[in-house]
Amino acid sequence: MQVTCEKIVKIYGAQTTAVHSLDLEIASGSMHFLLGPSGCGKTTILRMLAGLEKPSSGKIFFDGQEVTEKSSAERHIGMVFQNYALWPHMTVWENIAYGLKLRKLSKEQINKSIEDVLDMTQLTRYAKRFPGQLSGGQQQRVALARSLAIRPGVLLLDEPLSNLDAKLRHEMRENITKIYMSTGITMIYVTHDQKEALSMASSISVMHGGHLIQTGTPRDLYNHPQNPFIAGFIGDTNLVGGTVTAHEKTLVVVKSSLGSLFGRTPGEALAPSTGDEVVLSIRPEAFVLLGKDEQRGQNTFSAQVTRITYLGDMEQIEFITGDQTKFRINLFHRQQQEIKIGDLCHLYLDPRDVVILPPQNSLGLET
Amino acid sequence: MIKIPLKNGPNSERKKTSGLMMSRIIGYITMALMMALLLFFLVIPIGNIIVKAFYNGEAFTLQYFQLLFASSLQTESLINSLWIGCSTVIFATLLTVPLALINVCYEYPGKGLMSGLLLVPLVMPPFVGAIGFQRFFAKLGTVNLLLLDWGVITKPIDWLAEANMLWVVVILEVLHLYPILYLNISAALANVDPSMEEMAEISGAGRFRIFKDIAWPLARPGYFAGVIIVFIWAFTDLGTPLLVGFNETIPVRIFNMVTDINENPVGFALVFVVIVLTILLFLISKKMLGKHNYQMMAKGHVTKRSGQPHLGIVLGIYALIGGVVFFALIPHISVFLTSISGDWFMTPLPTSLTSEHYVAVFNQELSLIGIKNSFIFAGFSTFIDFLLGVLIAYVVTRKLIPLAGWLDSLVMIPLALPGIVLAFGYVVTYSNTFLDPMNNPVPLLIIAYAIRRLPYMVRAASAGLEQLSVSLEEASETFGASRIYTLRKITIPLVTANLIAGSLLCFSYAMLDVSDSLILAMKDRFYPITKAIYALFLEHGTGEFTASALGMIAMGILSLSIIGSSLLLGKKMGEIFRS
Repeated sequence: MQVTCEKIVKIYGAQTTAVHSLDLEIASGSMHFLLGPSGCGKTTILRMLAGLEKPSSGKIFFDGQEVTEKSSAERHIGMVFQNYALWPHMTVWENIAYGLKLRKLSKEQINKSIEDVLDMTQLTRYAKRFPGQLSGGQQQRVALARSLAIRPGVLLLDEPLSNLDAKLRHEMRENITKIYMSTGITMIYVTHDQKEALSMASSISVMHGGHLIQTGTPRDLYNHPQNPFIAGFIGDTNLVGGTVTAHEKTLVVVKSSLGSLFGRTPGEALAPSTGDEVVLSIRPEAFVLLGKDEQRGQNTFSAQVTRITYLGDMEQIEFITGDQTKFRINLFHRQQQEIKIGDLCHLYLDPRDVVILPPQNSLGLET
Repeated sequence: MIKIPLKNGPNSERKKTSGLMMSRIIGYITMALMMALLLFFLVIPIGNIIVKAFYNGEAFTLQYFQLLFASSLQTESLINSLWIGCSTVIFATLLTVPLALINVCYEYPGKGLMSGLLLVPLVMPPFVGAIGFQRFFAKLGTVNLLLLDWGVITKPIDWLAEANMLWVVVILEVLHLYPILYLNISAALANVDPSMEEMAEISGAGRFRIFKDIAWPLARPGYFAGVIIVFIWAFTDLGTPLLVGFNETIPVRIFNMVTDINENPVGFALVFVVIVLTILLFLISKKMLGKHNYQMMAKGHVTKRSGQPHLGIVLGIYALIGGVVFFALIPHISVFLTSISGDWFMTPLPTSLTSEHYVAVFNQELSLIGIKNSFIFAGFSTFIDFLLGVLIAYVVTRKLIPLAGWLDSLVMIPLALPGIVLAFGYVVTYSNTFLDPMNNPVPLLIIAYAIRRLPYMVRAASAGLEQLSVSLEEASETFGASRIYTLRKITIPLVTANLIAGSLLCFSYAMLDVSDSLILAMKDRFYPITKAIYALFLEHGTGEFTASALGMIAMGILSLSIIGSSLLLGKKMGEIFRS
């Protein structure tokens, strides 16, 4: 089911605006993530899609049909709550049967549907148990099974894995992906965990302070962040301020505290003019440590090592430049020379790895 | 350089074990104290009743039960009392479920005040209200005179006729006890995780179905916890039927039998029946409560969506709650009017006002003795409750000994134990011993007061201790402080509000205890305030007025302490009245 939000605003009380004029289109059959720090408005959006809360203004469409004023029951959705919201006084079977019974299905249909979802979530053995007799992971699966049983047009998941430990969380990620693959159901998934989003999503909307910042595939967001917030929120990055001094073919030359660097803009629309203030986003793994006598010409600069952190699969090295700018690099393969704190190193950056972004405050965000 | 002595120095290993020993010692001493108290002042007296109900001094006998059930007076009393208990529960339920739903579903201006007002009747002793009730509904009382004036009736209605007495008692009980049920249901409904109801909403259930299928089943244990208390209180309340003169009830029968129990041992059989019924009910409710453990799930981050109702609904809520509170307070309003009335004859309201009844209270030895005695008895019993209650709550919440859970259950027994049974047991067990209530009932009165209010103290203290993070205590222990030092310096100061609240509750309920006081205090000079009110009420002439004035003073004391404790306890108030 295609889900469309048109200029959705949600205001609580007199002051708090939880969602600022949100426009969003979620394609049918996608696994769409709403990602953002806590308090960014992502759960509010999910609850408005579920019909548990009414937008202050704006419209919601399911497959082109407006549902803004419809009750949750009429929207035919499924929802998995953060705490699962399993009814403790009903068995697993009864929990799943509840929504089906309300839909006045025949007994055979109900039994068939329940057996199907129990099978899909590997819960058949636990049908007669009460939620209190199940482990956290099993409860999670019951919540999933219960929402799937009614074959909803869209499944809404509100931080479904946040109450599980790390190992179970991994397992459940795979489970949910498997169910998504086999049912093809449209899923909208709220989380603050960017690893969860990157590993599972077909598309992600990153939110901050009630604003939608950027929507795209995981790769898009990582490789082509459109502003410093996304660059910093999705993955790790170094943000360095600078001024545009020239344009050379598709590349832009920026004078920064790492010297004069060639870089690229994430899209035509965001191309800055000469003299503009910009922010450079450089991923820690993009830096190339040069040998003593190695020369690469442009995009090289030197800095002093201030700290080395050994992490097993890689080493994190912190540098400081002559004008006190700090940055961090990740080295996956230890290169020939020994590095010690205090060494002056030469580094190189591929222009494709230097992403030129508008300055932070251009978003109108208070960060 | 200042040298800091090592508190946990070289012999820290020994310190550690002794710390553990210490907590065990505290645990077991508390357990032993509690067991001793229960043994001598609960198990033995009740065991004594049970034995005497079946043993005539020579052999096992069922004769007393035959006599009991052969007497139409006794069986009628039993049926009446059961009726009073059941009807009180039913009417209180009908009254409180809508009130609790309003409380949970709506957010309206003045909600705090309204919720508070609903609790007021709880602090008004029903037996005092009974005095005023009779004045209002007498043949030529306020209600009839008003109705005659308005032309609604032409002849006065005999509200207090023999046939209506049962319902008079039921009404007084409902008006007094509904807040207990209200607190329980509201708390239970508010505890239902909102996401549970939202999930049902998404599944397609309407508002009524959500209530029927989800909210009510989850709140039901809380409801039953309230029901059991309301039933037992109404079933065994002595003051109300005694003051309205409805003698065909179990408590009044028992009260009348105490004095000549040696000549008429049927009383043992009667009390035995009450004990069995109480235990039975208690077990049934425990079974209902314990069926599923609903507490295991993490609570969601979703907050309850309280609707903001239209003006019309708000006014409706005001009218409903105002009406309930007004009706509940009619008896007490009339007590107040009685206490200040100079002339009140054949008119709906007093024709002149006076303060002379209050002056009379302070000029009369009986009432002064009553006030003084009550302060002393209640003060001592509260002190006992405080010490024991804090210890027990501490041992239970911190699980200092393996059987801590048992201790918790033991303490709660007196909550369901009718005062009349306990007092009866004391009289039959300790007559002709050094504790003989005929000679000096003070020790037994204090113990009876203490034992029956101990659950309130334990609940109040546990509520505080459960919220207090254990790490605060552990932090103190890492500096080498002992358990007791930590308890004194860290724990108790942090739960002061709860402890004061619990003590106030214990104190005020002890002040207004009826059954123990009426039965155990046999001589004038040992009368507590409640028995003084009763004695004054029985006096001819101005007795009723002085009794009302003394009743007003008692209610004043009680209101002040309950308001104080609810301010300190806040929303935890509801949990105090759970069995």
